[in-house]
Amino acid sequence: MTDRKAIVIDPRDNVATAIQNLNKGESVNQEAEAIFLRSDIPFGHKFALSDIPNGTYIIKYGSPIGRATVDITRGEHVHVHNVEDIVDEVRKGV
Amino acid sequence: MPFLGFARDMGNAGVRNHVVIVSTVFCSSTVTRKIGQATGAITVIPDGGCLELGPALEHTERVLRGVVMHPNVGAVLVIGLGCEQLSAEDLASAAQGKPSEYLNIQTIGGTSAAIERGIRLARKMIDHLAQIERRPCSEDNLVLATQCGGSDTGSGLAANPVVGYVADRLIEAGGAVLLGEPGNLYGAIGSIIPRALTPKIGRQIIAMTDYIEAYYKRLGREFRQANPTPGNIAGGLTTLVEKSLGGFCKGGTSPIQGVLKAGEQMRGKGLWIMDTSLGVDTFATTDMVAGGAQLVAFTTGRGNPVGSALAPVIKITAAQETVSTMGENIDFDASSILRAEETIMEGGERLFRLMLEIACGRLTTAEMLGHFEFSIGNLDPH
Repeated sequence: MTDRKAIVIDPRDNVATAIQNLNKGESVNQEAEAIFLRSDIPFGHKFALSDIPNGTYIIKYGSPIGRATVDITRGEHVHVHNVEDIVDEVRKGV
Repeated sequence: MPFLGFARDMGNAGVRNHVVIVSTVFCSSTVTRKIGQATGAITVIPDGGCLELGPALEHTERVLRGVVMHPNVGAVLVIGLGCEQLSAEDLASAAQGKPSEYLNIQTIGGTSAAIERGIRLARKMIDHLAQIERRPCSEDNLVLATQCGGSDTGSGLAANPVVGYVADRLIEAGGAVLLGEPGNLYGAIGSIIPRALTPKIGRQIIAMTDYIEAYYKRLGREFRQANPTPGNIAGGLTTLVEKSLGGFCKGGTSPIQGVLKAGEQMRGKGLWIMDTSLGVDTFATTDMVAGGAQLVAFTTGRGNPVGSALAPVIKITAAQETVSTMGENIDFDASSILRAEETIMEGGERLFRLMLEIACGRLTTAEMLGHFEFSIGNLDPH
């Protein structure tokens, strides 16, 4: 991401991390496309780069880091209120 | 690309040429310290060194042997008491081709005689090493240890990914990288196991993380209850898996060649995992350096001054605030990545060049400030 507002660590990620405090209503450029922020995103917090349906993975570092517990819309804050940990699943899977 | 270093008889190469005064046991620590103070030589002192049993004894012995054999060490003087668990003579003989001497306080006749004799021996070694010049050595000799301490949001976003880039780059050049911190592996296990070279290595890594969980249980705590911490969540970390992956990315993307015990000698090139003493930063750094790492890449958010007795520790932060408040303790500012002025790859190239300059003798901030910490972590040896 060349925008100065957020960072995407791996091209497979479906979330970006804010590298400054961002406000609801702001738009962030991601690969020439504007993402309209649907909530305030504090520094270090994540927002969705695409719609993430309930029950699907949140991807960061190119790997699943959690699972959406509701339908998450592109531009929405992605955090403990709409994501569950998948640590048990990850540990059982190996 | 070669670096200018010190080739050793064992076939490896150092980035420093230290004279090191090593205590076998805490009882000889004052003599060791006074010899160090009088000569400027680096000192290595175990907190125990006697009456240790089983895994603790083995750990102390592995680490002290690793110090004596270390490629950054050009000469060794071992100071024993005379009745401790490790023999000074035996430890000194592990130096393999390097100048090494030992003395026992009980044999030599007390503190004053030991200090006097030790100073004379150390000065001779210093004079000898001063005549040795750096020569071109292949960078495939380099072993880089990775470690976090005082992490923040920028650690997982910029500082650790930059170290991961350097790890890949060094492994591509034929070198080796050590990744410790079993706690970081716990939640990242799903990404780690597919990278283990063999199923057996995968099982060893799972066992390491199971051990961490059991250790917390024994103390009446749940590992995952404590992770991510409320501070992590406020900073934007959502899950333990995310936190773990942020730490694990220091190791880059190479296959995992094997698992080592705390302080065990490296057995090959590429990426290795070490079961460092619960991941506590100074203990873990000591373990990985004893295992043969000549350089340490240490990422910090809030700032951490700690160095290592034997190896340059490169302090990397992505926190602009830490650069302004604790700048004298920072070697590499990765905050440019958080400002999107630099990509992870560009920052990684810049760090790789800095690492080679440091390998050639450029001092780290920890070295300039006199940070030569050493501590064998026997909190829970296993």
